[in-house]
Amino acid sequence: MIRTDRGVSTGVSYALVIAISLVLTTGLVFGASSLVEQNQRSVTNQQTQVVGQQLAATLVHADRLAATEPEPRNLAITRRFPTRVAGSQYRITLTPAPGTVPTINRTVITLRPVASDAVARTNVSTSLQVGPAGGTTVLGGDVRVIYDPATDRLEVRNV
Amino acid sequence: MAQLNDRGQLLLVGAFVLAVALIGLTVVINASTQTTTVAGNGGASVNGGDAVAAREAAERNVGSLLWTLNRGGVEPTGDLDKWFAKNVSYLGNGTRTYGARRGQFVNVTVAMYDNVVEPGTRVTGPVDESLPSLSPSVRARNATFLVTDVPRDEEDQMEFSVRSRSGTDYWQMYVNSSGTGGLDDVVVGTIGRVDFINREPRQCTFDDALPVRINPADATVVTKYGTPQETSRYCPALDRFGSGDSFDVYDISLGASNDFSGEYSLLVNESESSVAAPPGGSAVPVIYNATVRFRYRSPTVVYETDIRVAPDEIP
Repeated sequence: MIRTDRGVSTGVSYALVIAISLVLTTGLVFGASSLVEQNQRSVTNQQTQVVGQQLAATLVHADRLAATEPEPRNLAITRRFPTRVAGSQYRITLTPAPGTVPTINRTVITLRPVASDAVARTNVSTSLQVGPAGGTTVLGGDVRVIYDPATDRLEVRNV
Repeated sequence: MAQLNDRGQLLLVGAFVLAVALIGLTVVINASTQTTTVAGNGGASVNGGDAVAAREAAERNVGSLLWTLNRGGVEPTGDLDKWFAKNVSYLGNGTRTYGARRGQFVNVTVAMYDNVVEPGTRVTGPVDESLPSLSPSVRARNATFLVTDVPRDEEDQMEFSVRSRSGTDYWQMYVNSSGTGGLDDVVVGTIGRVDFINREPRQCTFDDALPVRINPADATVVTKYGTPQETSRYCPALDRFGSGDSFDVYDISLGASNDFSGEYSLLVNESESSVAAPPGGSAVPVIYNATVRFRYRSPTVVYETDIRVAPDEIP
């Protein structure tokens, strides 16, 4: 008579199952975490670039609307950007940049996620100056571009 | 039975590993697709592109209304400015409907405040020897000349001219036939002096052009006017007449021989009572230089500006 249950113990089987499951799950988590981290960095870069370009487009549209003669009495464009990119809050900084043409104002839009060292920069050229000479910083989220007739400038503020 | 129990445990382990793998994959895919969502968020209506289009449409519509009114296309009841103000407010409706149809409520208002229009007179008449000479206090806002026949003159002596004078400065536009071309060839040129400086004469020649419509305001000449072959062409000679060199006061005089035939139309800034109708012509009241208030409100864009509407007027 051949016994097929030799060396088979319920306790050993159970322990083996637990051990194998643990090893497999740990391997999967470690393997996937590096993949997710890499993907998260890529997503952060792409999202900040997209937000920067959309803000640049909004500034150009506001500049075009403000270019009428006479100047507009009231102009405000609101954009709803995500409050977080890849799970992290971010800051938007607008800094005037030196340009070669006096009638064109160049502005550098810099997006910095709080929990990441990724930085996205976008350049935009407008006929009006954007913000004060020292630059403007706003938090990511709902942003409003306003034309200020008193200073003849475009201002960027949080809503 | 013992073998079947062992197989069940292996299946359980496999299912558990597969479930964890699927959850991880879902997290990765969701993180990736978030970028696409951000990129697709927004459009022309959010950016303000629609506001630009709406403003241009309103400007075009109000300009068309003013143009039609001043050329007698409609017969208003009561005062011209009040009739114009009342009809301007209707023009925002079309743009508002357009915005709503695109899935976003847009409130567009076009209205006049303080009735900002100026009364003027349109003087029209035939081009002949009885052309009027306007008072120095009268300023021309627009001038159009329609020449239907230019007599052939080998020595270029017979010409139709428009002279604009301000103090010692003057500007003169002349029209004659080409000395070497055919009978229908037209030459449009300018000579003048501004700030004591003689400007170099310029001229444009248009072959087989009659009838020709000359618009000094935008420096264009429409050849074969009113025919299917009608073509609008830019004439550099006229460029300085309209916008390049401006005069504070226009002392306009026109001169032509009897052999010329055509019509002229002048929009001047004086009211009808102070501008006499020329012989064979007419002087009718018009309004010009209208300013309307344009308001555009959508969930994301607030835009309010004044629009100056002055179709065909000299800048």
